[in-house]
Amino acid sequence: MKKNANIPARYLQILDKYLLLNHPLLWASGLHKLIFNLTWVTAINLLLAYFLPVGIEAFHDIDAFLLYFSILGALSFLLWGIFQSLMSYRKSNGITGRFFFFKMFSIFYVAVLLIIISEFIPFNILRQRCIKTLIDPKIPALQVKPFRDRISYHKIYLDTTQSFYDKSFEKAFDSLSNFASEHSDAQHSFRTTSREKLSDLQMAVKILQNVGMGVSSYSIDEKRHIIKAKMGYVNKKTSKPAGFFLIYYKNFKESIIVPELYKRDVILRKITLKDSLGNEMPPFTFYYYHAPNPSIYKYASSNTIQADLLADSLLSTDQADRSIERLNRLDKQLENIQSSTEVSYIAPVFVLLGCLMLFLVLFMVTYSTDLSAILTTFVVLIPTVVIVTFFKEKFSTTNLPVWLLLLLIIMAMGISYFLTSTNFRNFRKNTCILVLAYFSMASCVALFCKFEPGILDMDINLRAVPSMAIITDISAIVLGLYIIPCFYASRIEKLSYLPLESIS
Amino acid sequence: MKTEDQFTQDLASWKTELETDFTAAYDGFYRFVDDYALDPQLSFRALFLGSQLTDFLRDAQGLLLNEKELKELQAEAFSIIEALALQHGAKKTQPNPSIQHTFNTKKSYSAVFKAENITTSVSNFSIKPISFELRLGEITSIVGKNGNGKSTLLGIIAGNRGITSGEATYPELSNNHNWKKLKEQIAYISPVLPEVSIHLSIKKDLQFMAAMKGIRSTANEKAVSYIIARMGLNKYENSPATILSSGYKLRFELARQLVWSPKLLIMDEPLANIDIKAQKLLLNDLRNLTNSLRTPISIVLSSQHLYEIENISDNLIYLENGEAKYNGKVTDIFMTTNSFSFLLEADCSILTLRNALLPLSTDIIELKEELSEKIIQTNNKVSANLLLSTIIAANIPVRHFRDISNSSRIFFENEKKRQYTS
Repeated sequence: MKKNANIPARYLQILDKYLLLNHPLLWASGLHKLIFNLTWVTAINLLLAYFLPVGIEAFHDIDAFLLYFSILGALSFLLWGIFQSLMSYRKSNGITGRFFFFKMFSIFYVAVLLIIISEFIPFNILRQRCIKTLIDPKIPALQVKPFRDRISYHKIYLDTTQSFYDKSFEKAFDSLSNFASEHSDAQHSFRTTSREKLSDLQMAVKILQNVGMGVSSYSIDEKRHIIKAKMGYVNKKTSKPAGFFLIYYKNFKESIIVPELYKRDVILRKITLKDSLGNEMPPFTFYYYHAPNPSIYKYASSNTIQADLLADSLLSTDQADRSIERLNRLDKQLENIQSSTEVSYIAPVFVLLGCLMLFLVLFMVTYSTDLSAILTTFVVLIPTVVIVTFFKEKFSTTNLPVWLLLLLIIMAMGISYFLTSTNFRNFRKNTCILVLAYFSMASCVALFCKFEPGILDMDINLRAVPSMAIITDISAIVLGLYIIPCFYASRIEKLSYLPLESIS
Repeated sequence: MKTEDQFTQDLASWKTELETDFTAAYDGFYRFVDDYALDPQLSFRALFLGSQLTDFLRDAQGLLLNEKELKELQAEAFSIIEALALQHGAKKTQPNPSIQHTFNTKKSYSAVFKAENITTSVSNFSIKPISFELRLGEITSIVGKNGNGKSTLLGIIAGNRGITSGEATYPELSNNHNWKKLKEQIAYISPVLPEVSIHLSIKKDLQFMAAMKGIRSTANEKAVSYIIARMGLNKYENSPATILSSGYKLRFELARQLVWSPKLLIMDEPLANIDIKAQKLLLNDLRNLTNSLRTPISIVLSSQHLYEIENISDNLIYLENGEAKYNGKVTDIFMTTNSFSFLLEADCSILTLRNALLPLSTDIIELKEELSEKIIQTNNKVSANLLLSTIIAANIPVRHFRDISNSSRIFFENEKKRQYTS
């Protein structure tokens, strides 16, 4: 049994020896060991992602999982970085060949890709499982902002009813067990209740209340084929009639859909409007759904339907006996749901960018140690400055930080050599390199944020399709971190082999 | 050349010596085998025997070998002696052992590095025009006081420093105009040894080095096994190099550089950090490596250990303020002065010594004392034997006596003289 358990390790040893003796670059990269180790890590992660119970009653804190996967990824990268020997080619004057740097950087990016795959694919599987329990494919996507509004009612309620948490009031509070719908309606005037299906007129009034469509100047004479109706407008704040507007709807369709997740009737009403000039406006859809407790129909717009269904489901499915527990658990669940739907990849992206830059800085420093600081700086800095200065119009602001990032790496390389050239050796040298590497990383993050001011606050729509801009950005980053480093590395390597006086 | 009888007698005497004191006799025995072995494999066996001896001694912490180990070593040594005897018996039937001849011919003409009137300047210091060749199968030593240009000259040979005039070429190396390709073919061991890997075993490190240099597959394994045995690293082959002592670290670095069979090996102060025994072993190794028929190499090294490196060197360059005061064969140093020089350490005053040497006063050119050493310069009629017997006859207790007539040490003395006269 023990022998069987060692079989993969023995195969790894055979492969390791084969690569060492026949393909030293691949062996130095340690890709085979990385793949071997990542296989186990990925298997565990996949088990976690597939078998961790996920349901509407219990949502996991997805931020914690993101942190877990990010740390695991960074750790894998760090360990791989320590145990790879790619830099030895320079230190030992190994025979490199013409396409050495392309091979080297390719290996590096393959390693990064493998780490990303092993960590973030299981994470996304888990996240998708969470999302599938939240988002119904038959109705419009879950909008984060309206959802936040929905759940905020709960928090407001908690704030305003702190006294109910006292033991003396607990019993009284329990008697208000249907607080969910009632207080929901009280907090949000637009979630008015009705025990019957609402008439068309009432629906239109709600639409106008909610969104203020601005359809006030239709011409009856010009568009007679449109059905005409007089709509009442109610002031949202005061709940008093504020006047009348005319609305013309050409088509009025009503259908019933049964969402897969919530299994409740949702009445869908769609109206296609035309303005006074007869131009068709975007269709307007609104929903009524059957709330479980009490059995009433509630109104929702296409922006809020998912959020309403979800919030009501959560309130009705919680089975805790004590109100205080119920509220606490609900509060926690709501937070988790919010984080599940609002995952931001900024932190992992920065971690990976940091790893990439650390590698590049160390790589550049290793390859430039035979050069003088001034020469290094001039040879690599001037062309970079020229590129950034004269060609920046060709790149969008999104791409600019990539260039600045490169600039910083190269500057760090030159400065670090300057500091480590004569007086700073061993410990000081290594410390200097690390400090500079981290400084350059921090500077890049700062620059990144400066040029992309909204990036840290951005909301990610769960159904958003990657736009061309994202693809362009990724291409620019890949090009910036692949082609340019290869070019500079080969130039620096060539220069580093020249006798010192010949280049001064 | 020894006669057959003499050779047989020598073999018998080595057998006796190895039986009497194996540890003391091994060194001479190895050199004897190396000199007279016609098959390099035999030489390798003798070398490997030394590696085993070192291992056993280390296990015994420098004390006596145990009986079992001693018998094992002696059996192997006697087997080598028998093989040697057999080879020389068979030699008579082989009229043309031309490998050595071919090698010697090649060695005479193949210059790995050729310098013609090269000069260079480094801030306030410069190397004056100098011409020399580094040939395959030869060891060239660069000596001189600190700050006189030894490392600079080695830097030029290694391609790390440029020249301001003259011409430096590498006739035996390919891609003479591409520094990157050239440096890939030059082995350089600096005084500060590179950091060693903490997670790579010595064997893997050597295999990686050989693979990086284009030696792949089974050739790689063979080359690494050979160099590990040759450098006496067998015991540590599966351990990381971090556990090695500084002497063994140097051996390991040497193994790293030699495993890919470079044609040019440059060593800057290799003896600086190793003990006297390790120095001797290393220098013996270097001499044997340059004599290798399979992979001839040219070695150039700098050191302050004059006598030690002169013993193994073919050529010597003595630098003084960047100028080559001597640049030629070690055996020809004597011709620069045409006199004999001797170094003496004895518990007596210079006056006592002068009186003791009165019988030779007509042949003595100069007698001087510096620190605790006395230098005696004579004309070429006075041999070392005669001088020493005269001193001993005068009851002077001699602690150390050395004939430095053919040593670069005389240049150091001459330099002082020039300084005093100027």
